[in-house]
Amino acid sequence: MLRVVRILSCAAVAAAVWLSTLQLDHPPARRIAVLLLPLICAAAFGAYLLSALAYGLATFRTCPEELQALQTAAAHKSAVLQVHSKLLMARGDIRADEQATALQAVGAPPCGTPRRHSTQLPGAGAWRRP
Amino acid sequence: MRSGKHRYSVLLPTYNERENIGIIVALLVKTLEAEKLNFEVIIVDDNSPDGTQDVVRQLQQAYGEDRILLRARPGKLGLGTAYMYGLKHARGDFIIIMDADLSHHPKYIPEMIRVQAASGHDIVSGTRYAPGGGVAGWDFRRKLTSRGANVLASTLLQPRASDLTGSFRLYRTDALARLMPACRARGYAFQMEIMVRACNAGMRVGEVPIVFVDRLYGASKLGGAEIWMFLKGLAWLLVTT
Repeated sequence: MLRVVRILSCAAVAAAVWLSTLQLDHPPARRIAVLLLPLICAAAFGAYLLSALAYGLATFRTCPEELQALQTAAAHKSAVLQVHSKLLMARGDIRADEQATALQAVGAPPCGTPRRHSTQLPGAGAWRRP
Repeated sequence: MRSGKHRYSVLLPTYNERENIGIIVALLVKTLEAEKLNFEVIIVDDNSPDGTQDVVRQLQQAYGEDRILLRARPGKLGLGTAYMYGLKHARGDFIIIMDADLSHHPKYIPEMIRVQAASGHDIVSGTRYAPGGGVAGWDFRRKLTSRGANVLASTLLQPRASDLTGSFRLYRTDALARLMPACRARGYAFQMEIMVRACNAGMRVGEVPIVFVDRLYGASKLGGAEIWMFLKGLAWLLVTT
């Protein structure tokens, strides 16, 4: 059964029960409570959503150290690529000029060049999510 | 960890990721080789004007064309179709989908594989909302929007997953192949739809806490248009699942 059909079916059953309850003889105070029952349920649902949101925000971790770790990893990527390309050169899989081209293309300085640490990651990309 | 009998295909949809693709591929290779895994990285690029494909070709020279696969497309055709296109070329029996913009760190992949191997899950999802997960670079407004969207979607859709909109997931290839044709939502609502349809189909879903790193520190990139698209996606899922 589709979710919307399930929700509407439950709402229809609840409405039928509520309407039939209204037809019964109640003392005035109870009649008012029955009349206000849909509003009370809506308010309770809203309170549930707000408390779930508050709990989620309270337990939502912020991890600035991960950004720092990623920046460090990015700064070291040239070393990783250099190690790989040295291994490939040792195996004879790539030539020295190919190694220089490959490193240059990914922003890594040629082997032997002093490393410059980047402090910001670039922005780009097309995909966004909440 | 040694998983010689399984092959893992890492799917990276890219658009204008010239400056990040080298880093993410280097991190992937380092992480997966350390675990002695049999893997490939499939980069689906939508004709990026910044030269992303040139960088990928150089990475292929550095790491090998059997490890780094470039599957180019003629234009910006959408995330869902990028997944479908990558799926056609994947040789692995597991597919790992993640972002190429460094939001997802490959270090969580071994844990995802361990969780899947231990319990036989069809999907293992990286979650920002479970204990141990989190974000870096989001201000309060951004966190409020994200958490609010997740609370609303979880209440209405009742999935067996805590992070519906995350895109760092490990799938059994056959499970993803079953889900993809049924998914019609666009944008990030697509991630929600995959998870909801997977739960409806009775697939087993596991979770691993991850930290999502947003690059633009403190800037909220979620505007009214994105919120409206999310609500439309949610309504679509309510009436079609």
